[in-house]
Amino acid sequence: MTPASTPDATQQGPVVAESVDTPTQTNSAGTEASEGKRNLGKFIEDNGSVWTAGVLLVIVVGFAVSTPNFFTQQGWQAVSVSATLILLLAIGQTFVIVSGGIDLSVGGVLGFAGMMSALVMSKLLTSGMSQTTIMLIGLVVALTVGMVVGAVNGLISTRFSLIPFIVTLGTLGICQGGTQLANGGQEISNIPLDLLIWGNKVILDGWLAVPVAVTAGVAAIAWISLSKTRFGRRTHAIGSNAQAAQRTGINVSRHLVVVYMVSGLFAGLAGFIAMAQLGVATVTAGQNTELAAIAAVVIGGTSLVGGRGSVAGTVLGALIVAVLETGLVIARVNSAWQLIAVGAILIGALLADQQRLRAARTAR
Amino acid sequence: MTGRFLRKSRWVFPFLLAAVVALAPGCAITNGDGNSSGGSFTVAYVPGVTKNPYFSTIKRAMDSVAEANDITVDYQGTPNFDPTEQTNVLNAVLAQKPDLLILAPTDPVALRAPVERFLAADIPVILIDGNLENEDGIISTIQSDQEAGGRLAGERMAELTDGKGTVAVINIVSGVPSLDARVEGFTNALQDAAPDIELAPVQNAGGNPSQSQDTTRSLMVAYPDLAGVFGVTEVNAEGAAAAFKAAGKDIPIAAYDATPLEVSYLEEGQIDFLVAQNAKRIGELAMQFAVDYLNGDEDSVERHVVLDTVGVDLENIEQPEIAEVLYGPAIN
Repeated sequence: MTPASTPDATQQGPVVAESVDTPTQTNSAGTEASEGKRNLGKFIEDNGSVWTAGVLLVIVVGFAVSTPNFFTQQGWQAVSVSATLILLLAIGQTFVIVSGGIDLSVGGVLGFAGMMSALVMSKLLTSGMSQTTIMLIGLVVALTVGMVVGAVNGLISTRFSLIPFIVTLGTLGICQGGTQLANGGQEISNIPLDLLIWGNKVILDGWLAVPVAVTAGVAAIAWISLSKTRFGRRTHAIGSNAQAAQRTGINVSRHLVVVYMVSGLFAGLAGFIAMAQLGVATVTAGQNTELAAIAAVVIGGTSLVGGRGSVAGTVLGALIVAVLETGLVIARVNSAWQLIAVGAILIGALLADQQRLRAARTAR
Repeated sequence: MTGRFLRKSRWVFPFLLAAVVALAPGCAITNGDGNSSGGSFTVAYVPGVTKNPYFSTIKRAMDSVAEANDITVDYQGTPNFDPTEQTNVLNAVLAQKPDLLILAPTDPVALRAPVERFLAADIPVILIDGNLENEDGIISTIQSDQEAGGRLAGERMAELTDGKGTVAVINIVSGVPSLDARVEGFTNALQDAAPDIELAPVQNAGGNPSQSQDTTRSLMVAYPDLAGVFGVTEVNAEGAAAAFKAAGKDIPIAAYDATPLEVSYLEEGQIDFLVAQNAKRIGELAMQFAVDYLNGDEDSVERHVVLDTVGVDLENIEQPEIAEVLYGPAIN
């Protein structure tokens, strides 16, 4: 009753003891335990990613033990490469969800940015520019397309006060249609050959695929941005309480537009990398990836109501999904189990997150 | 009492869940849904999509040859016809180091990169159902003659429509070479046999039968003289048949593939003509070549096989050789 939250009362032991003898003795023991519990609760709340990392570790060890060929270089390649596109989308999504919104258009942006980038590059192939220049221009096109769609998402939802869920659902459809129209519904394979080589290149003696390295670098920058910069703090603030943030002088509308542009930027980069890996910009690229990206964010511990989340958690969340899916294939398990496994982990992550918050709150 | 237990166990629950999920494969392997076990060699089969009668029929044919030759078949795929997803599956399959890969590629360009990784690991590759632009190093390709199949459908459509009216073609997505070949064969044969027929622009309805159903409803409105529909895949045919059935219209449908649902529409009269691919033969040949190659008999492996498609209608459906080419149900 009282001891856990009022240690002072027990320190005044001698005074209180006269009226409440036995409870005092149990209280001092109880206080130490609850003190410990409080510290643990605070530690876990501050370091939610530790929790997610623990789950990832258990899954990895589980597969390493039960499935031959999983804990191999090729197993790592399969996991890391399959994680890259979803992780890139999920990182952008983390910013948006932390700010209190959601971006359902990311899969469509991935496809559209890739297609537009390929369109421009294919036109330039006969121009005499070097392959490297063309590739860089293609990258700029993909990133720009992503940012433009993101800006549209941000402007429409803030200017007209429309729910991001619906707005981004709309731009998803527009992007998908745009991808089909861009080249008359045909895929574009007329892109610089170097791009396909880079997209599949593996460095460090076969351990690190170039797309994985790029994604890791970008993830590090995103982590610093969201957790250490003023931009990141403001994003958290807006997600917690947009009105309060507005009153402290933050231009919430402008900040949100930038946040959606960040999501679009990451989706554009994902579209460019997807095209590089395949050597062709396909019409269906990015389809059905939105929900996988959101699942990775939630599994990583970011709250869907906003105000709380980290890129580190998202990285772990994406890895958990990639390890599950890849591990089950390597284990020669029927593919239906992948769906069940990811769904179960998603629910488990939400439960753990909720309990973690509750524990931290009561421990105070 | 229960309260305290739940409060303590909240930390453990997600870990337990994760551990169960990760260790489940150990138990699942012995059940082996869809994956036969035992055997001296392992052949991996990656279809275009899972849950599909055509690819499942191929697998069943592979299984019977594999069992007779003591081979384990590892069947892995994705539910979406998508090159990126198929590439991810291939990367994972590569980690198991199968002895041979049988692949139905979802894109002629995009799938070259993962196939090359298999070749670099000295794992032989057989292609079925689709081609790659670059087939260096592939030991065999087994295809259906898609253009001839389309032509069969086109010729029959000319008869079914008496050479008059508008005919529509419903596809799932443009840009897939095998599907484009069917459309081309159909269009050319129809225009040759019935030059007065109006051909509506090809509709790309998507991978879901209900999308084809919606498209067909719109077509009925857009073309009052709609005289026939060609379903480029079973998805399109099933959707069109459902739309005509609901509207009570008896407009002829010619369709590719012979899934159980298409066959029942044929027997009901909604669909008039099916172009069946010889899925059973494709599976048997692919596995037979795999067996020959793995046993060192490379000369028995044919480099290019093109199989004929078979036209199926109410007149010949009872014949035993036709029953051979009808597809069985989809497996997961």
